[in-house]
Amino acid sequence: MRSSRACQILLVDDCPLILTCLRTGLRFKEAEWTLTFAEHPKRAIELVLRNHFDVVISDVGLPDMNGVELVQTIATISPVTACLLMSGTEPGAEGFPIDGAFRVLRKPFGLDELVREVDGAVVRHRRNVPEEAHCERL
Amino acid sequence: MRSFTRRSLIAQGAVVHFRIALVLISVIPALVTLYLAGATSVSLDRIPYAGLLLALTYGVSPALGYVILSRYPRMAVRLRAYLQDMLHGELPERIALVKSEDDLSAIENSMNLILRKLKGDVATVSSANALLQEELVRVDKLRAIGTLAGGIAHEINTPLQIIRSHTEFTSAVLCQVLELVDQSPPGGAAGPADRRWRWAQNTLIDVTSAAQETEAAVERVAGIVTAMQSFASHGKSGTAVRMDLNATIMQALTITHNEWKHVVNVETDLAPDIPLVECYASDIKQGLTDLILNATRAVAERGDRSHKGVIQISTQLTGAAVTLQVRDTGVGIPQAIQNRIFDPFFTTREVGQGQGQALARLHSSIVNRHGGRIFFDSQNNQGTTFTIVLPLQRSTSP
Repeated sequence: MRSSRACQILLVDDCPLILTCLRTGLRFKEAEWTLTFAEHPKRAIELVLRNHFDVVISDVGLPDMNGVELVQTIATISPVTACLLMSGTEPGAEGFPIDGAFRVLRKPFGLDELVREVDGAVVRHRRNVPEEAHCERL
Repeated sequence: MRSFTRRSLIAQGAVVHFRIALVLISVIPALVTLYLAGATSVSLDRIPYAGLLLALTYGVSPALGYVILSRYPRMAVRLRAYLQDMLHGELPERIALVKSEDDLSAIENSMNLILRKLKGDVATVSSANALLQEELVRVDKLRAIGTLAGGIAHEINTPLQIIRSHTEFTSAVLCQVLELVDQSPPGGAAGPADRRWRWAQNTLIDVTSAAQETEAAVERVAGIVTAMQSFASHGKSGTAVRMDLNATIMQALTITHNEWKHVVNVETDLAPDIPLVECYASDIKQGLTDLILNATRAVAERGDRSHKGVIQISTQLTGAAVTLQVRDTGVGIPQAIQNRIFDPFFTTREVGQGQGQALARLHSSIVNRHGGRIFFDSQNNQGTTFTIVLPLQRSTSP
């Protein structure tokens, strides 16, 4: 039943051009993925509170709170959501605390790399989070 | 006491001790005289005796005391003053106590010897200190450049992401369009429609390959930026991390590419089965860069412009360690200086062309921080091979 539904993905980046290029570039996945975009972490949290997302991919350098804090918050309020980070900075650099729980896509990444990471994150997350959690959320 | 100079110490010490000594030496015979006069009831008419005693009291004794005191305690006071000055870092021109040959003059000579050696040491230390200061400034500068480079890399990566995504998208779409065009040639004989179709097809082929070349170029820029970013992260030099040695070698080659591309061909033979190595990453990155640059210079010094030299870099798993070799076809290290190349501040280059710290720093890091080994083999005009044996787990603590 789940496999028939499109995978809900939220992309968070404060640079609108990044969101645009990912929207265009990922058009070939539109049958399987439904993409939502947010430029601000607060907006991202609002969206997660109101909607179901299978995956959240967030940039690290964001206004008001960094991406690591954002995905930590999202993981708490929506345990069914798998979270990924993307960044042009090395993990451990200033403003990028290392949290081993989240995989990092290093910018500039290829679109195929993004697809692989998202698919992998969905599979891993389903294995780790019991099915009841998914049902509760739905 | 610290504020007293040598001279004031001598003056103070000598004067105080003299006065006490003179008073004692003068007063004791006087007291003895008075006691004797009283006890034996000597009358004042026995003037000669009294006169003798008085002469002893006020004449001979002080004179004698002065002679004795002026030789020994004053020199001891002086000696003490010299020592005190030296302890406070104020080195006298030379020690001067007495002119005659005796125990004290032996001390004087010994002290002068010590003083000469000490002055030599101070000169060595202060010149090493000056070099260290320069080195510190260099490290500071490097750190600043590192911070900047990290920031710039981050700034570059965002537009690079946009370029990469768009080019990937463009070239994928172009491929699809080209396929469509290929499948739908205009029917009929050669005419204007056929010519337009052919033009469209050829143009699409060109545009597609342009997009693919752009993709490849972007990937190259991304590789350079990543290498630069990885090398620029200085902040973690104090902690050991688990590092992919082969990837680090490739990154070092990327960032030094501009230095060696016209001088040497680089060949790598990196064993694929090497596990992550626990090490101080910035030490190893810096050391690798230095070895590659040294090898390039050694080849350049041969001055053979018609033939490029070779740098071979290999890694190999040897038990619980990795053996890394950097081999060049350069001038080689002259026999005469082979035992000094790991010494701090040893350099054969002109002033300003390097501090001669690279190999010393690498040697100290490999041996002391990683518990590994570094050695080399060099043949005149044949080349040099540096070998580093790096344990997978560090066996010594810093």
